[in-house]
Amino acid sequence: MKSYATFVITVLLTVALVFSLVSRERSKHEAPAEVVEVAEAPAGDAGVDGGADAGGIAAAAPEAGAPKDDKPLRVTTLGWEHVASGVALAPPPGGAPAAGGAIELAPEASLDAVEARLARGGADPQGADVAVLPLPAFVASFERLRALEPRAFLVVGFSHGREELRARSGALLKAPPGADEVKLVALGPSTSTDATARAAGSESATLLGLFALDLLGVAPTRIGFAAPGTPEGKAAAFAALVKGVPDERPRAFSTADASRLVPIVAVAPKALIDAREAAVRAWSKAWLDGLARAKSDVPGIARRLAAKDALPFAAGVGGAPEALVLVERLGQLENVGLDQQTSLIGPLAKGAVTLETLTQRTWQLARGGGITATAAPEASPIDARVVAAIAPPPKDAPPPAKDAPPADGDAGAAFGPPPAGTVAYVAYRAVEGDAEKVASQIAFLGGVFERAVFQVTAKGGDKAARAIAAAAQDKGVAAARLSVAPGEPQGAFAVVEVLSLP
Amino acid sequence: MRVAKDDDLLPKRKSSAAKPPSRAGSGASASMLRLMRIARLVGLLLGGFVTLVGAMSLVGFITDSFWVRLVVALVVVVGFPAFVSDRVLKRTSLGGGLAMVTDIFAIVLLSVALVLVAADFASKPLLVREGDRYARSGSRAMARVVYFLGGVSPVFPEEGGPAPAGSGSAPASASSPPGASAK
Repeated sequence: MKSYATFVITVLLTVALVFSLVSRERSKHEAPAEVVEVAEAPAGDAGVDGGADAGGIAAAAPEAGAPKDDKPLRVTTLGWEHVASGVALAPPPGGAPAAGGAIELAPEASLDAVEARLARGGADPQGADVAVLPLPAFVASFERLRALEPRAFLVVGFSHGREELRARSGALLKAPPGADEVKLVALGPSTSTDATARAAGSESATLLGLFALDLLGVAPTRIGFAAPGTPEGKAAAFAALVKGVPDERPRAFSTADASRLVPIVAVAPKALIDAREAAVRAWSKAWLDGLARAKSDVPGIARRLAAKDALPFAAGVGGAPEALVLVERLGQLENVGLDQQTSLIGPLAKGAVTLETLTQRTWQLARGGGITATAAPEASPIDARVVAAIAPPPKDAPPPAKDAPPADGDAGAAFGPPPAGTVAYVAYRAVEGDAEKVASQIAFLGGVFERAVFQVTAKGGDKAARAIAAAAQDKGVAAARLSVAPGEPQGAFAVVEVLSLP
Repeated sequence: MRVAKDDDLLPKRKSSAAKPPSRAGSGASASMLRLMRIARLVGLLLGGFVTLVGAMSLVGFITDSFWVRLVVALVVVVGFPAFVSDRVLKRTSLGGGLAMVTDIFAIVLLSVALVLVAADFASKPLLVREGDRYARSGSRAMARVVYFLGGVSPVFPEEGGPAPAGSGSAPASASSPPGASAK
């Protein structure tokens, strides 16, 4: 009888349990992605060449006795192509996870989504610790994320042809007349609610347009934004759009020409870098290694991304673009290796184009164009600690040529005419100033347009132009890239034409 | 000298002819006994599993280590019903041997499991978090089971919505309007 009673109780409880499990209402829950362990890049395999400083690499290893950091780093990127490194680091399906830091990937298509993930923080499955995005987008979002104290701590690449500037014939060689408003077809403050402008533009493309107009001497207050397809957009002389957007204006130049204008940076809140510096260092080295690996297997990366094939995606990641689109976008990125980091970030970065100078210029243009309302912070939001710890010092720049002509212009015979067949991208017009200021601008342009040559004309004729060219040479611009032209520019102290080699 | 035969040493076998072959000592039929054993086993396994997962999710408050959670939960799952069995058998004259102990184990574990499932306002977050742990570690099947116990239907990253219908020229970004005045 007792066993019957226990049997009945058991059956009743079992039935009740099964019934309550099966019949309850179920809400949807976004499960987190599998966290894949990624290998820390071997010291000799992270883009460091033979001259790498072993001390610098060794310093990147977590300090002995430091507590082990097991929490995964959640990485969000603006654009699916920027997550390629994480895909290259993820083991293939069925592959054994390697030892090292763990990551979760969250590629996003909009800056709003990237900001939302950073705002949630890495403790949230739908948040992020680190964001990888173009510098103009970082500047645009800085105002909204200011409380997080976001810091750029690594340059992972440069945009290479993703953004294009289109202009009417000859419009980029002379200043727009009078004080009329200059219309730029781009994603700007007044067009950001326009779906067409959002689809055809980006912060980086807008920056390219603002950069060109700034070189022409157009004051930011004269620039007005227009959406593509609108009557004023069709009448505008300039358009700054992403590659592939149909536009009747001829293509003037792109970020493939201004190949060092738009860096892709890794950004993290200052508090995270303070608290998990060792993990951020390990991630940085692994990520740069992953970039190199991704470059060697672009079809495989694109296929895995498009299929979202066994990848450590974070919660809430949307659909991936097609493989062909990803292949095209991966081709529009130029990677930056570990050995180039200290020449871009930190106290050893002394060139004309560093993350510091690019940030200042981007901020100045973004604020002038209304992309951000805040002035640049007193200290740029750059954290050099990670790069200083993991990257070797930059290779010594070749000293200026001993036979460089003196700045007085008397020995200017070194500056010949530009090579035949060159075409002008854009003209830099210095309305006022001195030779030193113009030379500094030429040095910056020389860094941004890596393969361009420059033709200088100045008030005062050939002699003044040679003095400016000589000053630019002193600042590290090769004499072979400098030429002078006779005559004087109209309405400007000096004009420097940026010419493409044939 | 008389050598003991096997029959002398072995206990006298009860005559099977005295009772019908289909009857056991409790009066239950063989098929009924089999059913009781099955019910006991199912209750033990089901209740034990739900209780184990619940206990692991509770320990998950303290540590994410799988082995720590498992060992602590196993101690709870075995120790608590054992304690209850001990008390019950001492204070009552239930008897019944191992079968009764197993019954008490099954009833205790099923009761705990039922309370866990019924009190979903408290157990749901625990179980969902436990499922998240399995999802992160790559144990999809286990994660699905725990999510089922937690009362949610999971959507894994690969099961997200379809790709947007945008063309290759879709932008990398499009920010919201900044606070600056539009030109």
